[in-house]
Amino acid sequence: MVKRFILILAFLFLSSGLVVAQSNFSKEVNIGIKVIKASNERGGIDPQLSDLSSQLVRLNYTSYQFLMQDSKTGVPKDELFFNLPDGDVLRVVLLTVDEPYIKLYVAIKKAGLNTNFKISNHGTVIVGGNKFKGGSLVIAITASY
Amino acid sequence: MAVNCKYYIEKLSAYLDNELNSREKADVELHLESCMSCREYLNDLKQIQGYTQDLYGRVRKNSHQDSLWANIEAQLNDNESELIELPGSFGKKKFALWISSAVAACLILLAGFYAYYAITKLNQNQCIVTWVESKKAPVMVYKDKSTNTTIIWMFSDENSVSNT
Repeated sequence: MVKRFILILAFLFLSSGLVVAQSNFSKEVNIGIKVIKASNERGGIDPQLSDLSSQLVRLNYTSYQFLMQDSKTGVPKDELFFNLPDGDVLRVVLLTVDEPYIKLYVAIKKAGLNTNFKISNHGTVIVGGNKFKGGSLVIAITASY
Repeated sequence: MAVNCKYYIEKLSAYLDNELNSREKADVELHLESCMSCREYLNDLKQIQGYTQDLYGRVRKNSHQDSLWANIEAQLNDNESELIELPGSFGKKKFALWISSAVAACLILLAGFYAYYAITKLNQNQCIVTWVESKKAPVMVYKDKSTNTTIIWMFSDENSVSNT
């Protein structure tokens, strides 16, 4: 009886592991971007950026103007492209989903930025520095599955 | 057996239970005096009645309950452990084992879900930059632990990136 009980538990454990591994491999990841113009003009933080305010204030600008947002979905190994207001292109490659992290490769073509990072589910990373209309272009990248 | 014995055999059970009137009773007794086969049949009936009363008495003796079926049920329950479990039957012990296994499995699953939730919650907005390079401008990775903020910043000058 005890042997049977242990066998049942082992089966449950192994099958749950296989299910998790399989689901991670084909898990859909949503990448959302918000593009912001940060400058030292008057204006404060745009109401559409309230969810990012605690992170944006670290940049020490006086104005954060919302420019655009976009989101795309893919599975690991997919490449997603986002057009930026300065004519540049943001390229995001979904590398892996290793719960609770999502590993991404991000490149901004003309600016020549290439980076690899892993981000927690629903986490946001701020990428920026390109000069744009008297300020700096800031991109908030959020990944979730 | 005489032809009219059939009539008396049908009456014998009632005679034995003292359910006949005096006239019928006298008639049956008169016939019994002259008919040996009916006397033998009456003796058989008396023996069967004796066995039945003995059995009923034993059941009553072992229990204070009034109902015969209640007594039988009580005795069956008392001797339950001695009953033979048929192959493939789903006994109480097996049922209890399956229930406890199911409860244990549910608890393990709940613990797993809780651990997953706790890990996810703890790592909210965590970012680990493993590699970064910029061909046109110096780049810096800034991390603020109090707000879990990660910033990848390029220090580009006015001419390094075309303005639009």
